[in-house]
Amino acid sequence: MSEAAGAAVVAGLGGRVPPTVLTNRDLVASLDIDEEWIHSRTGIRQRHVIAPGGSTGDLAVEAGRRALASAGAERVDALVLATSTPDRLCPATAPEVADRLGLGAIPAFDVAAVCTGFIYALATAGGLIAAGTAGTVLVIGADTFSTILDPADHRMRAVFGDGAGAVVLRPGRAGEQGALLGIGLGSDGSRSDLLGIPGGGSRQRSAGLPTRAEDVYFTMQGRAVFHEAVLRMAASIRETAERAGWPLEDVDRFVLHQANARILAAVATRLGVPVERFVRHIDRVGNTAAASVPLALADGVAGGRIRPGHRVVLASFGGGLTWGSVALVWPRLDASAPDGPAEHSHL
Amino acid sequence: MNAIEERIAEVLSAQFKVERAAIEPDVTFAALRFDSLVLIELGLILDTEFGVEIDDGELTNEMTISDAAELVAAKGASL
Repeated sequence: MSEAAGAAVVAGLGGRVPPTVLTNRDLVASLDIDEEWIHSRTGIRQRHVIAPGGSTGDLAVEAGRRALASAGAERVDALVLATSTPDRLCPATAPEVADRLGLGAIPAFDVAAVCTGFIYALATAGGLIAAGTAGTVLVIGADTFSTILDPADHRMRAVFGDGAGAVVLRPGRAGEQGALLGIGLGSDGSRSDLLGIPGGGSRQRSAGLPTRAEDVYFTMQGRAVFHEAVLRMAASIRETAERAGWPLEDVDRFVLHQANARILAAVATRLGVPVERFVRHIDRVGNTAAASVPLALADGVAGGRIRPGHRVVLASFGGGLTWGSVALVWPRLDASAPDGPAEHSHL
Repeated sequence: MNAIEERIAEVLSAQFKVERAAIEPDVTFAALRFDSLVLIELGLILDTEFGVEIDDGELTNEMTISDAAELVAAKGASL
């Protein structure tokens, strides 16, 4: 890509986790596992969860508001929301989020790619900009997995947390800081059984079968997912860095889906790069699904781990299976920490 | 130990902090007291080390270092 070529450019960033914190100690008080078991297998010490009556859309609104403020923008031309825990089965959550943000009658839709959703949404928004359909786009990744877990499944409750993160994209040039370079996406539907919610969709409804309790909750084959996540993200990162023209050793920060700290370490080993270059946010928020990459970005920028001029590769992996990655030189912009106070929060 | 067993022993010692003296060809992974994720992590490292594909579940707790070396060799490991 020549430096003068058109590109979508990151112009704002925001993140939001709900105020209620569940520590490992809180969890083990009611479960048959210990705190160290959770930390040694996942790297997670606490996660945030929404209050009763809250929703993914609530978090998306707050993250979106922060990203718009970071960009100094009051309006955008489109909104793309990545989520697999929408406020309801249909319609999509994005139009209501756009309305609550006062964005008017802009195009707004959801993208479903589970934990890879944010990368898919970035690519989709970049496409809207490239096609001239939209100028600026608000891209949000938001999920509330606390609402789809079996309350009795302590291992899954230990892994997942709720949150939302967002960026504003604007049209610009490939040579600018913040330009999305070398996006790569992939999927493998032959492994759709590895993670997901079996029931509630058209196949179960058309069969007229009663909903079994175990089919309404999110399930995951942890070991197989771990294996696939490492293979797919490592391969995707290699390809994306190559498309951007960056040797892996020149990448300053890797911001991966925060699924498990040991997945991050295994990807680093496989790529032969120091794990210290991997931004780690999972200890404080757990796996927040589509929110995890923008939340890790917001936390990394607020804490100074990600700085203007850094060569950054974002990568994710999730149900579908789906995976994707994107490269960018980090731009100069402000972002507050995702666990800071909310100005207009109803959470 | 043969050359493949030696390489596996090196990985276990360097990456998983197993005492080198505790690693013998007939020691099982179960005896090394790994948690359930280590065998996946080990498989992902060995496939890069030896240029072979090791699927999830191919390395098991009951296997010895020697069994793992045989698996890797049977896949056409390059040393």
